[in-house]
Amino acid sequence: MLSHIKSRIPRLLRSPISWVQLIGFAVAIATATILYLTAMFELSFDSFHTNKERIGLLYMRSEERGAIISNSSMAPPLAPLVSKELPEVEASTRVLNAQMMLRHGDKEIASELKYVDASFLKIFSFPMDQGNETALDNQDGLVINEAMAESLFGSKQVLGKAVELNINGNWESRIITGVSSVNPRNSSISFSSLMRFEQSPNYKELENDWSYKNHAVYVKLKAQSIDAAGFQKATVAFINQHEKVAIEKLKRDGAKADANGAYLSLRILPLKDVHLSDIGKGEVETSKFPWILLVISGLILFIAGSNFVNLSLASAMTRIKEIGTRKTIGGSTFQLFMQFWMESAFICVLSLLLGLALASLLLPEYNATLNYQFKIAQLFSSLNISLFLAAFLLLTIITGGYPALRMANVNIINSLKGKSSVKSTYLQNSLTVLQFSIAMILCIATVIISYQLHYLSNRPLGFNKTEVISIPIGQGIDANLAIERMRNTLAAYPWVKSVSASDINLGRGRDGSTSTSRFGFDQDGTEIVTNYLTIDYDYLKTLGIKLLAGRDFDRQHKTDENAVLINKEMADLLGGPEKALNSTLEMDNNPTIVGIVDNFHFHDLKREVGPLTMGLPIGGFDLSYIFVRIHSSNLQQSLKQVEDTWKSINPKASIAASYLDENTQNLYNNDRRIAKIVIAGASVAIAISCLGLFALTLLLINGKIKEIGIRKVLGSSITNIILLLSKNFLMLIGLAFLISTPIAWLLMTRWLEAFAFRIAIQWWMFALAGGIALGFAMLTVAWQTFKAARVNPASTLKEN
Amino acid sequence: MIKLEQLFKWYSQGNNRSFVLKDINLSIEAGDFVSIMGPSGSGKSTLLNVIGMLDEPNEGKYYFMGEDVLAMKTKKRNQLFQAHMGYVFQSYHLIDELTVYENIETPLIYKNLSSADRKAIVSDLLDRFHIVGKKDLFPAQLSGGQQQIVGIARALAGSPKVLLADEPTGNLNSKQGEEIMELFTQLNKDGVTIIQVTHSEKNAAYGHRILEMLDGQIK
Repeated sequence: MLSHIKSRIPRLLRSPISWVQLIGFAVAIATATILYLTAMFELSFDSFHTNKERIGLLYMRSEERGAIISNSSMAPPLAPLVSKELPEVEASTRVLNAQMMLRHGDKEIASELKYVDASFLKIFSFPMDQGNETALDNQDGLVINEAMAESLFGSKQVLGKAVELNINGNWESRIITGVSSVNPRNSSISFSSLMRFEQSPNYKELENDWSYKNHAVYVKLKAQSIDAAGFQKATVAFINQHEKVAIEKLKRDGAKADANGAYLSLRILPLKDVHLSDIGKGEVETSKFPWILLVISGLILFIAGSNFVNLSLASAMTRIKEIGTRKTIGGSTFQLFMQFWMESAFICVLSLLLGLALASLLLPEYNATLNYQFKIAQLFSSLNISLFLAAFLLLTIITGGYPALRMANVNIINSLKGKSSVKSTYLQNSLTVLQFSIAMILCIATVIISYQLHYLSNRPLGFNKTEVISIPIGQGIDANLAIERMRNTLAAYPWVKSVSASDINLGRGRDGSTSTSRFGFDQDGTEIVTNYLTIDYDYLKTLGIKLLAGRDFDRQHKTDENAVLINKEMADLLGGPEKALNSTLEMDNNPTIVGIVDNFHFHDLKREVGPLTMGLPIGGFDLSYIFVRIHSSNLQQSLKQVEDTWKSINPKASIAASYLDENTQNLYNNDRRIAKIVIAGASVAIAISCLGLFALTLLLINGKIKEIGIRKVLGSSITNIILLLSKNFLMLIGLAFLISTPIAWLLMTRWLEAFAFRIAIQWWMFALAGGIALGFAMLTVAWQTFKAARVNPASTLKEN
Repeated sequence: MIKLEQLFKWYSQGNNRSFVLKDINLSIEAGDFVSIMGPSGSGKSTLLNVIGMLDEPNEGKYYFMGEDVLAMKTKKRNQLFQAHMGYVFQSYHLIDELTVYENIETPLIYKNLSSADRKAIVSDLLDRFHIVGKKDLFPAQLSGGQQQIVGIARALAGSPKVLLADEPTGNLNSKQGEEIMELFTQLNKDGVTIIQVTHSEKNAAYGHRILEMLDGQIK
């Protein structure tokens, strides 16, 4: 048997069909491997925690004004009461995001701090280098991670050493009680330092405040697994008791009760879903991203596999005589089957090796583009190896075994006469149709996703995003002072048009953060929920926001410290612009509305523009972002000059400035990532399908050489012959188009529903995608058929 | 009608030329019936292919109906030959997937004839060769002689002036072979010029003229 393979290898490697099989399969394996790694990484989030099955994130759900609101921000009293009063809960911890400057000697570093409860280290299983899970048992405990230790001390052995913290502008000394490893990359909670929640600013005042919600709460249940519905039922009494005020408000404002009759319910999201879920708007839904990846990689493997079967079957026709001869000299069906199967297996193994090599070549580029850190070595875990081995064996058995069985079973006499062909037109055609259907669905998805992203980046946002630089102010400098200095220094440059600031960035800047500030207050007996933005003077001018009525903030008006601007949406809530202008809002300090601006997209385009109130920073929140409008022909150089100015004012600034164009693009990074993967998948699918088509054409032509000759002698033109040979393929591709269109339409309609602002799916998108697939297919077929059609018939019609 | 002058055809093997046709000088008048004979490899089929312009000579002159064929543009040459020549093969070369009717119709489709015209011509041929009853059968359902009759009918569909036949009876038994030869004789009487390549002395005798070939030359 092995000697058979040995003698076949040179022939196998000489056949173009084998190469098509080999390369097609290898490309598919490389693609599937990379997508598999990505999917498994996304699915593995938080799986390193020992108690992962029992941990969940709490969130509240309500339905106000027809919109379902899920919110994972909790009030400080909730977590301790949850542990105390709910028998289902074993432990709970609050997790509050913050930033903290750490200092040791002359080294000063900003750290990503989480204020947590003592149980945090016991609920989760974050690996500790030094110290243990009791590190935060004392109120003044401090855990830093080893990277932070290395940067501050130049050593990881820092347990018990003192470090200084900048608390409210004063440096205080603390003893390090624990050193954690750097967070695993697949952790949804990341930190470089941990402190007790009780140490958070204003803790004493907020300790019993149910209206101030700013942190997440994780719980560990007593049960071995999480029953989300059961938990929701078990917490009804708890919520009704403690959130009485909030529930009364919801009822009064006409909120809708959920299926269980609750206006506000406390729910739990299992830890494994936290990374992939989006809590905020609508019902909490877990992203299907990893599953999309797995499906795409499965489809690509399927295309390559069916290619393989198709080609094996088709090339079997050219070996009918060989099979007959082998049988007459005593080869049993089983022996023949084994021979053919081993030939297939040989090509499969080669493809696997080539595919893995290709994947490891592509990974660095892939990692760089999509910000992952995959290595091919990750595949060699026992789970992955067994999965891969199983999948591979199955593929070889199907792709190699089926054609082998068919070939081995042909009738001896017929095959010797060269008459019998392994007829499998039906199977071949179905597989080709399926391949192209899949390729076309991916093609249509590519067109629609690209167009939607193009639409998002070109839709008017209500503010002028070009030529505006945004600078994150960051920690370690007084914001108001920083803005004043920037204003004064930049005034020297004629190309700087204006400078302003706000507490929330527009889009997503280099600091990678987006946030929303919302709060509700009672106005004329109903609760009004508004987004709130703290802005500086010249905000409208800097961002080019249109003023509809009233006026912008003015330094001349001293009373503007207690005035607000609102957007049109908010004005409508208050009973129209005329009524709203110059009236007062019944929120803290009762500010007067001095101006109404046109709606602009302060969120991404997945959401409608909500009501917005803007006030000056006095008594509100700190300003965090500086905006500089410039007018310049050299944007790169201007950015650098503005940045240099900023560095001279704040030498500790660590986060780069960026243009707003870039920031608004960054909002759709996730969608762009999906787009990239779908586009790559579509390209690979088309390429492999065309490879298969190429080989099928080759075989078809081989079988029809004589017919082509006859037809030429009878007077057929070259065009006629090309048409004759590609007619069948054209029909198959046409059929694939009919199949793929409705499926793609359904899928893409669902995808687009996630965007409040979206394109309408139009017929030309299908036509374009179909055209692309058809074009590539025709290119593949046409060249071969053209060559065949040009052959001199005298050479193909030779007798004997 | 056909005039070949100092025609050469060769294949280069390294620096050597191996000649398939050597200094062929031949003239065939309209209405002639020529049989070409000779051992295997003597260049009979090549000569026939050159006459039918399925193959090109390396050197020499070829006049067809007074025109210098080798000086013509390919497209014009193809038109000329497709309009005036019919081909018959030893192994018939019918298209397996097409019925008898469709096989005969194929060259007419390539000539862009209307479907009514095609139908008239094909029906006429089916009648003439007594194969009306077989028109819906596929080649595999016919005997060798019947297949060759269909092949001839197809060759005549375009009403050619010259019929080129490469061993038309080579795959047939003697009775079938006779029938085909009778058919050729009849066609020749109707005015078709026939050039056939054959191994059989008996069949060659049907022609008005026999050309003996040896090593690429006409003896």
